[in-house]
Amino acid sequence: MQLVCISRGEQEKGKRFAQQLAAKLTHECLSQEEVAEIAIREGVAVGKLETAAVKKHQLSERQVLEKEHYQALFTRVLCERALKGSLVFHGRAGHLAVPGLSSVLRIRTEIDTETRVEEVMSRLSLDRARAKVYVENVDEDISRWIRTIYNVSGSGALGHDLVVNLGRVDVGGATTATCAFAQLPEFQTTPASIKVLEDLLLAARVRIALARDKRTWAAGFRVQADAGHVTVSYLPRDSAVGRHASEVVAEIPGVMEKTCAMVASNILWVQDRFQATGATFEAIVKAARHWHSAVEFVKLTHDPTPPSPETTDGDGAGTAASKPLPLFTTRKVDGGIEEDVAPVPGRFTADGELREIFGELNARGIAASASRLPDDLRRIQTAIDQTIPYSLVVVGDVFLDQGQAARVRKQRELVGRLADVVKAPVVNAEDLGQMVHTGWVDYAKMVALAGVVAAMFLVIFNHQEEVLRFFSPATIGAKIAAAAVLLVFVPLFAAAYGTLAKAVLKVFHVE
Amino acid sequence: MGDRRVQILILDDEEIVGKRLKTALEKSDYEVEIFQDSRDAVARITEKEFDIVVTDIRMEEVDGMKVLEHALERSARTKVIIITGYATVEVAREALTRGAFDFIAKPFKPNDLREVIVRAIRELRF
Repeated sequence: MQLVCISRGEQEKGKRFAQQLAAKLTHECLSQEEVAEIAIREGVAVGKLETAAVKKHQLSERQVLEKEHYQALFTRVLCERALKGSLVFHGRAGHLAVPGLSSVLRIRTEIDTETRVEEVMSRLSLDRARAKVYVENVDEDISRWIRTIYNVSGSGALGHDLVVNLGRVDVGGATTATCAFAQLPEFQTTPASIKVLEDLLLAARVRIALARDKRTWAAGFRVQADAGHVTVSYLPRDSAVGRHASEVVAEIPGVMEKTCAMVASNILWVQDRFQATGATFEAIVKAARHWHSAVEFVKLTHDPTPPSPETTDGDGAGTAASKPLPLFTTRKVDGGIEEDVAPVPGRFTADGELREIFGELNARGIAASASRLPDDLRRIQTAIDQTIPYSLVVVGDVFLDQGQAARVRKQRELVGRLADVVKAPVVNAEDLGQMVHTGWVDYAKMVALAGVVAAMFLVIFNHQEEVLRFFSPATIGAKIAAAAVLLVFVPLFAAAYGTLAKAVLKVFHVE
Repeated sequence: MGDRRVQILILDDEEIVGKRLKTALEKSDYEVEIFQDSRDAVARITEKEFDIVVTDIRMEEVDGMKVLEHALERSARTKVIIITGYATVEVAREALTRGAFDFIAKPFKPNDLREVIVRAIRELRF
């Protein structure tokens, strides 16, 4: 068995090339469109993910779940077919659905824009100007879709084993040449690659089972499988749902052992205004990745009648009343028209700022939850869920509506109150930046400290006799002087050496 | 435009879609006509200029792209909104390139459609 994945975007000639290649290799042929049809039949709202790419929308939390389900379904379909017999898949970066499979042959087809415009003009009966706009936009849309689904760049030849220029080589010639390439030993199935496919298939089946079960469908899970041992992890925000995962996983054929665990911790980020760019955002992302944490953010509001402080999400799914429909259910009965959900004033859904940053963190797989709280110190303190294992609390710019003196005082008080209820370091945004970034100032400090430490060593080792004489005094006065010098020198040396060691370790991310 | 109500045509081969959307949109005081057969809808568009046409893509006889083209040929000011359960990047982009006002993937809530209609009406300068 062999798996060939052809990234051909929307190119019609790419489809023909894939079909002819499959026929010549006597492999089964499967297209992106067929996978989408299967996903739709199984209840995944594929169209939402597609239109999000076209409209450049951030995915809502529900759509992030849909994305996970689509990924699992796509992986399942590819693995099932590839394990049954050899397969040529053609569409968008199918190889990304089978991570870790080294024997997959990854082909990208390229056609120059002018040839494609001509082809689109004829196929879609569009005039030249419109056909050109279509070609340019659809490529961008597909790149965005790949970035949304797999969080990797979707353009360029990088990540492919072979690029076929169908603008220059005809489909027949390209097929013949590719057949020879496909015979290379690197692209043949081995027992190791079969195991990878089986592991991916089991993990995908588990993820789909979790999505179909009414107890677990609403939570985000990461599933890995290794020879029948399945590991399921989930975020602290899903701890109530996550405990059912074990029961769901146990019922799946092929699972011999299971481990269901919550990810390590959350980073709590409290601020007045959020932006999905800037030094604090980057520092938070870096810290979350480094500590395998999810980011929970709290926006402080100055609204005199603030909304409920309960945790909300991108679809306003924080309460039972506003829970979206279960996924993986057939929607034929209602023709795809859902019930309207009355908007809850002031909730996250209405907060574009939170929606944007939640989307950005979701895309990186590190979003925990978002909520809004009134900027009342006591209420903030009581609203923090002490059962969540926080690894760090970051207090950014808060109380921005107040004067400088009042802002600094209240920020300090907030840090103190949070430190009382959270068993984790509470830092401000500047401190966080210093914790995770190594800038030129740090490197300059490191060089200076290294110089100081080296100078101390040089002085001591080049003047050992004098040093020993000084510390072997004969008179009382000299003894007092030696003790005083020791008292000052040792802490100074320790501080310089310790700071240098810490800075060096930070460069290597061993804080 | 005076006090004239917004004229909307809805075309979907599933009966329940038209019924549910008609009920929902009439609550917002729009005048709504629903069709299941795309040939009937095309004939009606030929007869009458609608402000907004909401159409599915995948249909027997005349597909949504043809309905879109016909509606825009009939009146360039008509706003055509595509709704479909089989939305793909390629189909969405094709519809937008052909002049569709917006594209909504199923499943959606009537409120999602209302929001798009409100934007369309704003452009129509009612």
